[in-house]
Amino acid sequence: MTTTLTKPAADADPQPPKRVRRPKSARAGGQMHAGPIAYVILALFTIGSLLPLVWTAIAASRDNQRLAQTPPPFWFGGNLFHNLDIAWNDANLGKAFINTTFVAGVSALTIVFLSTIAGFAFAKLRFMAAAR
Amino acid sequence: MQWAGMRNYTRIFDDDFFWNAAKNTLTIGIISTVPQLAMAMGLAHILNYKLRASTFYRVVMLAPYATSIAAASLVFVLLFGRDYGMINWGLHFVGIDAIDWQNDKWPSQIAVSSIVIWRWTGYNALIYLAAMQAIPQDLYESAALDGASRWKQFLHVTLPSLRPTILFTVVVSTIGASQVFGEPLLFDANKGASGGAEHQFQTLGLYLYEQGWVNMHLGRASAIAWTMFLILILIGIVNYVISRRLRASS
Repeated sequence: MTTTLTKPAADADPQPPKRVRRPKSARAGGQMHAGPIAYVILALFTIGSLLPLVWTAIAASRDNQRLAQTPPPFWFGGNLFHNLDIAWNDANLGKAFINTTFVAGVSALTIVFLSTIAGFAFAKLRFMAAAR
Repeated sequence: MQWAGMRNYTRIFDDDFFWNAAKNTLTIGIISTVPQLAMAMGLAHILNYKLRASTFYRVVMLAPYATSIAAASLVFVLLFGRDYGMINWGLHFVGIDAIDWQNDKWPSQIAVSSIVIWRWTGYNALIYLAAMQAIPQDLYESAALDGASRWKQFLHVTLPSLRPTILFTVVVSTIGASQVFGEPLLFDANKGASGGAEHQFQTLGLYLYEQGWVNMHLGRASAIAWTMFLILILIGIVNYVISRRLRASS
């Protein structure tokens, strides 16, 4: 399944060679420029994607008391370094970082290594009960 | 220890919590998957135009996907707070009364689904976009010469060309929806695994976890896991049959 997804995309020519006889009305699909409505929709999706992330950053710079008030805070406060201090010293953020790095690194390396040799085997070697 | 036979499986049939969780998994799955894929398709269509700063939009769309479930759920719990949440605060201006996103059944399921939608829409949009860019330009040109409008081109050129990709995303999203676990677990303000005070947003994965790790009924949990697997196979067969039908009809 993945091959059908990625392979054509890699072959895809982002800008097909310009043809001489192309009527204006025939320009379509990826060739068209986006109109203002497209940019408005994109802007809405951008806000929707980023708002929770930005708001996390705002919440990280506030204290609990301010977070439990209406309206919610819309700009950064002065509590960021206090929160970082607690995260680092009391909640052991440094240790968690090392653990995450270790798990992520070992699993990523292992997955890439095993997938590479397994991919070679499936593509090139003949064996019993193979797909072809 | 005692030989339980098939008891762990047979008791599932008159286990109200199991069927409640099954129903919740289905409804949360539908509420999250259908809008997610529809929005992803529209988004991919827009991203397929010639755009200024197109790389920026692609990175932005993928940012939620790179967020961990724990971080995303934390933010959404705060955003969906009943008394101080930003969403109720915004609804207040439109004249809608505060919604109890935790304790009411449908609002809580919509809130849990919104976390899933937020995280996965951009990912699916990029998959659709990659497939759209591989559609030969000639197809659009000949369609336009035949007088097809943009909408007709989308319906009769883009969608049929994307059929394998759509099938892929539907299968992946269905599998993901049947295993929703982290979002409902972390959305619960009471920090339990019951999916809310009245199990209103407990999914099958969460029920499995509650039976196995909270109530320590590992046998029941394993039986639930196997039942989930069987349900997934059924869904897979339905998917396969539908896609065969679609292929045969064209």
